[in-house]
Amino acid sequence: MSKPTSQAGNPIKILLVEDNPGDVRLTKEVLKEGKVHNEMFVAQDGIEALAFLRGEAEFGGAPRPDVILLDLNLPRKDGREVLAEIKTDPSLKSIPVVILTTSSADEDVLKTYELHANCYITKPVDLEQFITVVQSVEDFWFTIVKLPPTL
Amino acid sequence: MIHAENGEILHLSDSWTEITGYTAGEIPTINAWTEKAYGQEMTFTREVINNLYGSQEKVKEGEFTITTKSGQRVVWDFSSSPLGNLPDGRRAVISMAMDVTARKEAETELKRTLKDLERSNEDLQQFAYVASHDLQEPLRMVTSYLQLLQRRYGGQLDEDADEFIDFAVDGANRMKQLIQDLLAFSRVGTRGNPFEAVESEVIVQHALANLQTSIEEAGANITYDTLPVIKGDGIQLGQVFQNLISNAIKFRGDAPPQIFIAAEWREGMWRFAVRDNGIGFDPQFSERIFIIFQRLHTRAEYGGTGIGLAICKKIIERHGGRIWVESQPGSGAVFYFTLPPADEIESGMGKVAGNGRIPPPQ
Repeated sequence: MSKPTSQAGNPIKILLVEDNPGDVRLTKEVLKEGKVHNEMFVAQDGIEALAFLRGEAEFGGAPRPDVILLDLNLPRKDGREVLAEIKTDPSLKSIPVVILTTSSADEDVLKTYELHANCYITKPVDLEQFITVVQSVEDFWFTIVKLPPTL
Repeated sequence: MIHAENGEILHLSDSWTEITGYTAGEIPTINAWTEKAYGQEMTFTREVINNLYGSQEKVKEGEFTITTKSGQRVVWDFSSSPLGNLPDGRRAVISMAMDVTARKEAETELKRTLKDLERSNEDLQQFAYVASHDLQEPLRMVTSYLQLLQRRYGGQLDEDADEFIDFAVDGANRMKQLIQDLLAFSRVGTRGNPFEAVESEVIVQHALANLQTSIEEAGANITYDTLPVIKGDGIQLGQVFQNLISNAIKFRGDAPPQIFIAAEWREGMWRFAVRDNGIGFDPQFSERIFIIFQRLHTRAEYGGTGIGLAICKKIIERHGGRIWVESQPGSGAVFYFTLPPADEIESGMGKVAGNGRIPPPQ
């Protein structure tokens, strides 16, 4: 049985904003095993992420992602700043943002919801748990939630 | 010394000379005395002395630092009394001083030691927190990728490879647990809540609720006497009860665990006792088991990192109490710990509902 894709039949495009190459690879491996056909793009910090989203510099022609996985603790531009910019940009704010982070501090949770993150998930230490987490993100966003149509 | 309002020093005791090194001849007037003994402070001190002559009663001037003839600095606690008028009409005053130099030095030393200890303690807390916090990410990489290897290649490489990976994964998991325990331990001091009146019975009930599954699995029977209201951090004390009860269940013998909790009022504190009928241990280890990561069994016999009792001890000591244990191999164990009572006013004003026991009047 073939994997479900986005409504248009194309693989779901995911932008992962993460500076730790180990975590990038783990996410990639986990998404590979997942139920949903997807294509993953990586930005290593907040500045790259925003350039990608705006099709600037070397990212001219970059596709618009269906969902953004955002790590909070990034070099140069902090993940919270990136989130704030995405959610205040009229052309970007409809893209769902899932925060992936190792910090479970209460202030972080509150702050990211106030900045209109769609979802906040703590990166657990255990691979099995990480797999479950990423796959529930997939399940939730891609098969249950109706993603905003690309215009 | 006895002195008159025109500044003449009429009498100087031998001990005054002994300590300061100045003879009567060397300091005939207040001006001479203050200049020699007070240096830059002389103007201020002269004013203080001047004000004495107008007083009808004893005055306590307080502590002043004096420089002796040999250059030593001593601290004197002054008080003066009026002596009435001399035959020529001048008002006279007698000033007495107590040498408190030793006490002042001890106080300063104590303050400095306290400050050093506070700083050292803060450093240690920070170190423990940072070490365990920063160790988590690299450990996460090790653990996750080892597990990925297991998942993807387990059974595809030879048996040796599988075993090697198993050992590595096991080691990484244990390290993760140690780091988390170390973090928890370091947080006892840094994340404690302020103390308030707390019903220990309610806390015990919460702990039992948390341990429901293991209690049922072990067929444990846990009972307790009426328990008092105490002053402390409810969450941390909950951890203490939970750790002790969970240990009592874990280290059980062949019979189902029977655990009993009681409290006695002793010498101004509540002394709690948690008694079990488990395997017990050799009393020579009574102190060692409270040390961080110290265990009395192999990992194969019983799980756990050996942090539980160290955390209990740190929490109890944070509350100003003491924790100790009595045990014999095969005869179970009794863990004792002391906690301060809630202030009578707090308990009396209904801040705490229920059967709070107020300690007998002192």
